[in-house]
Amino acid sequence: MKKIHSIALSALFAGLAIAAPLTIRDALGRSVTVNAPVKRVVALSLTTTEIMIDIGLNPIGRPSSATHPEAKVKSIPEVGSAYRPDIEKILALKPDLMLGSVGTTAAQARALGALSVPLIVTPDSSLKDVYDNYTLIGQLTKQEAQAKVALQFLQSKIKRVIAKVPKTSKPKVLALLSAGGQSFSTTDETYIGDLLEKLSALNVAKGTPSADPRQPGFVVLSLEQIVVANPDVVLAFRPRTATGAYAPSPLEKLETQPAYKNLNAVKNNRVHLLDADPFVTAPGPRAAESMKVLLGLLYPKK
Amino acid sequence: MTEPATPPSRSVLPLERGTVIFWFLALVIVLLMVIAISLVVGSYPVNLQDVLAWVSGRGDTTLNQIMGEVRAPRVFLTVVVGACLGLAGPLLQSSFRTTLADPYLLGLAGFSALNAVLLQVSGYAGFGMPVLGVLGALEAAFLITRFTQDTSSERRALVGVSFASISVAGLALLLALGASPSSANVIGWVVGGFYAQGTPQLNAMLPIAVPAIIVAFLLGRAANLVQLGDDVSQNLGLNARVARNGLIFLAAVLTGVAVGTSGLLGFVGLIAAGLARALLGTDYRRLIPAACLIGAIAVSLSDLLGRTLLAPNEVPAGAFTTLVGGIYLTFLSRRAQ
Repeated sequence: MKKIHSIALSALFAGLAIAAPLTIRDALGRSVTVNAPVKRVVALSLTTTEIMIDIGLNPIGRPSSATHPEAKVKSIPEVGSAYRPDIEKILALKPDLMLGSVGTTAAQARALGALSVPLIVTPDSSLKDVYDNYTLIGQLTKQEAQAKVALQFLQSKIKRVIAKVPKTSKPKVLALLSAGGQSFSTTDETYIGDLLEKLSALNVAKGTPSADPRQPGFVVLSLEQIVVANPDVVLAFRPRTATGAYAPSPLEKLETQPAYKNLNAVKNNRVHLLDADPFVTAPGPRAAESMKVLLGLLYPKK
Repeated sequence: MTEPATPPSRSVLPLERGTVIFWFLALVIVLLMVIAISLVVGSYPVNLQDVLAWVSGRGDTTLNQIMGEVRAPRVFLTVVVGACLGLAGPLLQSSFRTTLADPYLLGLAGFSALNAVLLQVSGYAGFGMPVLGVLGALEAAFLITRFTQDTSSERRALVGVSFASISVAGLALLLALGASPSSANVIGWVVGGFYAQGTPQLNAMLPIAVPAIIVAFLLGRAANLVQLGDDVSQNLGLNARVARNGLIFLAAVLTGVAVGTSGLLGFVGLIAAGLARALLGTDYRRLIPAACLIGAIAVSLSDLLGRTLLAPNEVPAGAFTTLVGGIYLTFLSRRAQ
């Protein structure tokens, strides 16, 4: 039924090349109307930057921290930090849409939403959210076919990685992210948590409620909880600061604790320090490559 | 600290009319200059001609968007917030009878921020942050006046100082409870600033700020009497307690509406009242409007510096006001001994 509906709609729109108003309910529940196809899009998040480029579309602006794919990204003007974009720079680019993602844009959504340029905030906390971004960007730019091709290519790559997951052992994993001088554990409600879930790892933070409803999935586990959970693998993700330097490792305080040294992961040398980009902070086309790396760390060849 | 705020040299010789007009004109010109520079400077290059084109409605779409939606509302907002905080300074100094009184020092600002965050987290954000801020500042003002009835002004100030500490502790607690990557939002309250603020914040605060500013301008004479202490002002025909509490509550409204909008901008009231007193003497009929202008200058200048010095990164305006105000307070405390 739904399929027939969408076929009818696309047949209808195939004949209409002119801009038509399109109303989207975004990830924050905001109802946003844009004139599709949108032509000049400022991408406010790594996710929307990378997915647009993967579809073959060029955003006219991107967050300064977007560094992938390097050759393409260099020629796109920067609009400042993904968390605090430079609004004047954005408007100077004369965009007809600002496209951000929940993880970085949510905090400023009210301020950006007050501008006369429409803002859409896309979801970014699971693999399915990444897929939905492809579809949404295809709709907004009226490049549905191209978006679908890119999406199917990504999905086939991911399928191939998942097929390699051994059926026998399921490692217990703790995935940490440092932010604002604190160390957060990521649950299955985050993008990295979802990748680990898809790779059949047992996330020791799974089900832990977040203290902050605006950031579900980023939780604080005490050292005691970590010791009790005794993970087989610890993945520590380091983001970069505004200046491009690495933020402190999320292990900085844990490492000095005697109890930490008794964890299985530490004893067996299975603590891995990784760049938060792309594993945590850039949900998008690099999901397959990220999962391949994670697969190798979760299930090392003996 | 217990003396009425009166540097002796000033009280002996009343300022001449010409001097007063000169300083007011100077302050107005400085404020207009800061506003003009703030309108021109930013990450989108704009020159004075562009500003004039925008004002006369001849600018292109991008210029109109940047000036009309981003830069001008933000500059205007800094002026209004600064005016409110500046006014709160002399109002509190009169009612607490000390030149060390300040909405930040006395905990009005802290309670305001704490209340705003608490109510926001509990889902009352719909009332508008300035309203939540005002409620918090009124709470603090009510408690201070309640706890310190019939006590000396320094005791009242001391209670205020402890309120300020309590509110910082409360904010720290909220920070810990809301531990997540977005806890930076709470830090945004502790060191206030104007990133991405503009028209919506103005719309929310102006209906409270404008009447409060107007009332404050009318209270110069009352402030002059209240400053003399309850006994004297009562003899001079003022209902002392009502007038004193009225000044405190008005200061709370002004503080709350500003803090609810921008977060904590430390010591603006103290700087404004102190500088106004140095320039124009102790008559509150002059001090109040002068402090209003100086507050507006201090905050708009702090924001201008904050968004240009380290561009494209921003230093929140609150960092500047608290730094400068803290140094001034240290200096003031030394002199007061």
